[in-house]
Amino acid sequence: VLCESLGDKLTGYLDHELDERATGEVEVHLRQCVTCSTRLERERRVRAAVRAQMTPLEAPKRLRGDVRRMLRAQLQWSGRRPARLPAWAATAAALVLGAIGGRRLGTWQASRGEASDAAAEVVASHVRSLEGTHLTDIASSEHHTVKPWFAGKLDFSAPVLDFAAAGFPLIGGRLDYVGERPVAALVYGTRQHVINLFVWPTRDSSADPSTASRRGYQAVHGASGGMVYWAVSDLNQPELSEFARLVTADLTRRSF
Amino acid sequence: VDPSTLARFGETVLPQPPIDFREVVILRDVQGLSYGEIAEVIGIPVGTVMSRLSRARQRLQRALPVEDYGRN
Repeated sequence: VLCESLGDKLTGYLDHELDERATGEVEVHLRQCVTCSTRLERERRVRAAVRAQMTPLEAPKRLRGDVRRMLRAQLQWSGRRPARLPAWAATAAALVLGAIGGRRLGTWQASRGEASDAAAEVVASHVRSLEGTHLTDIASSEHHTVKPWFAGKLDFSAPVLDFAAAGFPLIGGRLDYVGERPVAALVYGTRQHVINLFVWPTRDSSADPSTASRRGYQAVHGASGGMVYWAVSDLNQPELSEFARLVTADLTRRSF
Repeated sequence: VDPSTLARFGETVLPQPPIDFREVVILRDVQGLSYGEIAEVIGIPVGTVMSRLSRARQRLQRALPVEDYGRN
């Protein structure tokens, strides 16, 4: 086999993408051709360099959630059963998004490693909600206004709790995602502080509140009455725990 | 290898080849897709994926100080 006739098979060989026959051909040739052996080794190093320098990209959770929701809506419309989104589709979506955004590759690496646990994820959502102009989708201190807004946007009835009397007035509500699940994000305020309360259903009947701290923010996690919640704020831990106690009590009361 | 050269790798070297080359390298070597999956995503034959990847890596090799990578 001449080097030319080998063509791009060296690349396929390196990536274990050739069938048995082609693999055999390449191996026979490699045993007798120093030039191609060297070429293979060089290509292997290029591949290693790329792998070492670049971090795999994941589509942002919010985007993945949106895509899934759109697919579901479309499939329901056409009367077909929802299909699973293949892994590469999210990759492709992310790639397209990155290309459209004109972002440089270097910045693509940022999102990995973060949000590996729920606490980090809700804190990231909290920070995001404060950064832009998207603290609330529906701004209202009336839970009678906020609760109906969630209807049809979530697959559960969002408990919109009223703690104004306890010093935590409602600011509004927002649709958010935690672990790719659409959740109700309720926004409360106390003095200059904002509290994000993420709520969604759970099978666990109840869980004692646990606290966490990420990136300088406090988070309290609990479950009651078939709902799990995360409260996140820059409030101090005792005050946030007091807020969480109210949440647990209210959720428990509702379940009876 | 000069570390600062490598640090600039993602920003300076990869965007230089045409988007077609960048695409296959990222999908294969970074995202870990198979040739078949890449073919499906981009909408080109599997053979074209292989040849494009081959050329893309050749370009990268010329542009990169890769000697220290992949040594066991």
